[in-house]
Amino acid sequence: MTRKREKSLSLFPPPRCARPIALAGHSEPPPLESSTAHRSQLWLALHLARLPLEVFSSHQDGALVVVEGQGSQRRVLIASPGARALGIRKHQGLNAAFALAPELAVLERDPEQEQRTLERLAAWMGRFSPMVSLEPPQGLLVEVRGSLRLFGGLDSLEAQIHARLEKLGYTIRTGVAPTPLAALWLARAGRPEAVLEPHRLPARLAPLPLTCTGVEERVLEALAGMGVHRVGECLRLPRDGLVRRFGAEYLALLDRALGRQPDPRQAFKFPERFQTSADLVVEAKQLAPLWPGIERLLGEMEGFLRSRQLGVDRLHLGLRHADGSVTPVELELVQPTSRIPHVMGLLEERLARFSLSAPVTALELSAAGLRPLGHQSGCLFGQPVPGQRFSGELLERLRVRLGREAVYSLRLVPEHRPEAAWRKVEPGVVGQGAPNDARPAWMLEQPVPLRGAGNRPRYGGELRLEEGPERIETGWWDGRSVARDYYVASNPRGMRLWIYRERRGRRGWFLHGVFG
Amino acid sequence: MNPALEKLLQQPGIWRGCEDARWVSTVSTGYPDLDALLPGGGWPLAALTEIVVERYGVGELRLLLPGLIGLLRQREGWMAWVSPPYTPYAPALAGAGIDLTRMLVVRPGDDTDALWAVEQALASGACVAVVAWVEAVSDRRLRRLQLAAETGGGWAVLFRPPGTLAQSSPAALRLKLVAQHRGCQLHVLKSRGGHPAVLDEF
Repeated sequence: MTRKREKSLSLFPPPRCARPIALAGHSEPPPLESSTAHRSQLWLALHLARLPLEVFSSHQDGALVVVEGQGSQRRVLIASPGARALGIRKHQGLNAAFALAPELAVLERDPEQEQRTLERLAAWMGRFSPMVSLEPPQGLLVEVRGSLRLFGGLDSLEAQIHARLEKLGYTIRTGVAPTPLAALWLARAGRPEAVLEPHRLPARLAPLPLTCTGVEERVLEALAGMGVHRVGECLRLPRDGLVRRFGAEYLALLDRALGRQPDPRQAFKFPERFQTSADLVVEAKQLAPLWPGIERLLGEMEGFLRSRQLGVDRLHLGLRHADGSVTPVELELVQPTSRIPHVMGLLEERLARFSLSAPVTALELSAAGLRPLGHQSGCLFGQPVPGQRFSGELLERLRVRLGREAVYSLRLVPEHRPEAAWRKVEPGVVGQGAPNDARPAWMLEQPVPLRGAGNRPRYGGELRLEEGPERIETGWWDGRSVARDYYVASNPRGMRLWIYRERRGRRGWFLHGVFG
Repeated sequence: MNPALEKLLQQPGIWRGCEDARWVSTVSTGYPDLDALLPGGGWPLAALTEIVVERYGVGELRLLLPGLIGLLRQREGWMAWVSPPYTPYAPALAGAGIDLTRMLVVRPGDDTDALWAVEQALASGACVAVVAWVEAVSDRRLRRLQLAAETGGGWAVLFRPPGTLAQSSPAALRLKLVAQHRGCQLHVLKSRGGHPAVLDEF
């Protein structure tokens, strides 16, 4: 039952209770304002018009078609720009297409890959909104009312989505409306102007052709037979008649599109992991043609990372070959990052001296290590982090090319044996041990035995003992015992050296350090 | 420029009046006598310093340490040592006042990788100082290192063997350390905006 209110201050009349949909008595449409839920929603629909072609990695310069069907019944589904230039069109038979372009490359439609791509893009859209819904085979729905402020308004949001998806290699058409169906229809029809208010829906949906509603062929034909080609004309038909002729679900479709009935959508469940792959149209014998594909995969990973507020610190890139084997390329980072240009730079560096063992037919990318961003791993940076935000990136860049062990830091160890009083360590780690400014700044890896007899050691001339002896005798407990008398010596050439006389075992003088 | 002219102008005895005598900034060397000799009163930042030594152990690190410590105190970032000739001994460096958590030791396999690492470290801006020990460097490479130092703003020190004195260099400062019987003698061979000089030190 409806209730009337005395005062109405706002532009929109106050809400009324939703009327239960009665099976009989369709003659009166429920009022537009009956459902408040959708008034506060704003849906952005994405229609990926060329998805069957774009699932295959980017090289689309030549004449390329995607076909569907069986055997000799195969028909062109989508033609690449190169093929269109030669006159090939949708629904042409394959033989006709070959007649127009003898060197045509033909790809079978891959619905599984399309579904996977749609899911990946849905995950990628998570960076813009938490509510994403799949609309297979070629559509995505995103609820954006809550995201408008963050992304600077609807125009800015749409522009960003367009730009980023185009960069990833997908052509899209968008439609914006308060109901999911209306947004989808607008996107399919290619109407860029957004519909922001529910009461404008009938007027804005009216000129759309019925083909963009996704209704079955037989219904469309029947309606066309009655002279009804557009949504507006369909809306003017008597409701009872529509139900009798085609069934209640078509009326419900129109009602849902106009917002007269609620249209709840299944929320897309964002995946926990990131794993993606792309088949290459033409197998690559060298690394250079792989980069656009790799960049595209990294772009998808960026969307995933942003939507989950995560950073990647271990990356696995797989180069798949025709025989099924995969050449792995692993990348390990010092700190989790979502900065794709940096990751791209590291991959370029890693692959710079790479040579392919076999031609590559597909690429795989997975993020093996995911960590929340903004948390510095405590053990790496005990002290205040060196100021530059990207100081970890320098380490990564150096290590990618030189090897992990080639870059390290030093740490003190509380030990009397000089060679054990320090250790190599991850940069930034603090050690405990005693600084000693009487020690030489340079230490030799291995002590060098000195020439000379008795008390007169020689190294570049006769050495003169200046300070010492300092006796170090320790280490009996772990088998590396040390009994040495250390001296500071100088030679005629002006070098200051740290030498010792071995008191046990192999007697003699040794050079252990150089005072820099 | 004409290479013969360039070579002539590199002579220490020629002072070029049009040269800009101010560096962007400097850090004190820690030795007042040396500060007095250098334009700007210290080691040149965002620029290349070349030091030629005949042999190690004559005080070449002692020369740099006060400047390095001062720089680590004033600014944030790493101090990277690339291809040091021996193992840097942590207790001694810590004893001298170096914060070991800010120090990176980089050991590339060869000179090409070493020069690449120096360039990366300088250009990134994440290092306040990069000290490198290299042998053969082409003129083009030296220019690139100078450019990288200007980009990143850090202090770049290159230790070179004596044979390289003849090569002209875009470095802002060129020094030579000559070992004496006690201590060493410091020759300022070239400094942007300053005169060559000799300092009997230590």
